Amino acid sequence: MAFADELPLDLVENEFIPWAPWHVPAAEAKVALISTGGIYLKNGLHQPFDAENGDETFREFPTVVEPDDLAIAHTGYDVRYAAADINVVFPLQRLQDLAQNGYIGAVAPFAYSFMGNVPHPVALLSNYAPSVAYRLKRMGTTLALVVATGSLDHQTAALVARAVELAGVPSIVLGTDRRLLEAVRAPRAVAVQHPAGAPLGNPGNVGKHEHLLREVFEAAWQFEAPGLVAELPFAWNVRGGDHHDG
Amino acid sequence: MTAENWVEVYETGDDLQMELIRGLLTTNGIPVVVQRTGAKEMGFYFGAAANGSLIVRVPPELADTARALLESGAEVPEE
Repeated sequence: MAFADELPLDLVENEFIPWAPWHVPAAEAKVALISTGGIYLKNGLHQPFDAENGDETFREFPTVVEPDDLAIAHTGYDVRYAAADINVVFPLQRLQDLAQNGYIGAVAPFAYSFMGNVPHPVALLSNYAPSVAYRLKRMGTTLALVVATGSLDHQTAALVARAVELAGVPSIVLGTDRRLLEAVRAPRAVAVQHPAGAPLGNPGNVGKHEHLLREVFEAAWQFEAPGLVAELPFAWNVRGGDHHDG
Repeated sequence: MTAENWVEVYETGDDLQMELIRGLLTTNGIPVVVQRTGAKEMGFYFGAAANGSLIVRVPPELADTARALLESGAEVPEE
């Protein structure tokens, strides 16, 4: 794939793109959250990710956990934004808000995190991504939101999304690098111009996070073929607020 | 609901058993955290026979309900 060759990363080359038709509208969907942000439960409940060594495992969270329960182990993105507001990489509370407002049907009872800085995703492909896909299927998930954080995380997110689609669950990858999303051939993907450490936007900007998620769902709903990447007009504002051109 | 003080209601070394317990509790509205210890942290590399424990933890206020469910031998429904 020539395009991937131009990128400064050694990416897995994917040809076939899995595709699970998305029939259940967002308002009726049970949405599962998967992040590549290296999130884990503190207080010894989860082992931190071995971020220095490309840890391919995942962590599972009951969706009643609170932000104070969560910690981050990741070497591939600037974690300052996520440390200030975990929702910028793991938007569990924002999805729960959308469910409460009736925009989505429900949030699946478990959420998942990988540490996306995985240079050699052998076990990820053979074991961990299919394991999460199976769990999503078993929960009756009808849509998976996969949030990519650092650069290589776009590949990890896409590989997980591909496994999820193979299990029959439609997915959306939200990332910050359109070229990477196209190169790794995520089934459905949406790109925004935010820093890799804050795909949802500036920390604490709840209204914008929810607005962005709504736009992500609406953009992805329109996709009629696999491998497409939509770019949304959300851009980072260095003064602290988010900018939206739409 | 912070997970800091969640209490242990079940421990097993068997991955399949853990999945059944997790499914039983979850489908009855009880959130679950599975804490992995020992080689269970690296299940892929060591397989299902890895030494270590899978500890099922639930919120303290639901611990008695969880234990009662586990002791009742309730069938495991779909999540």
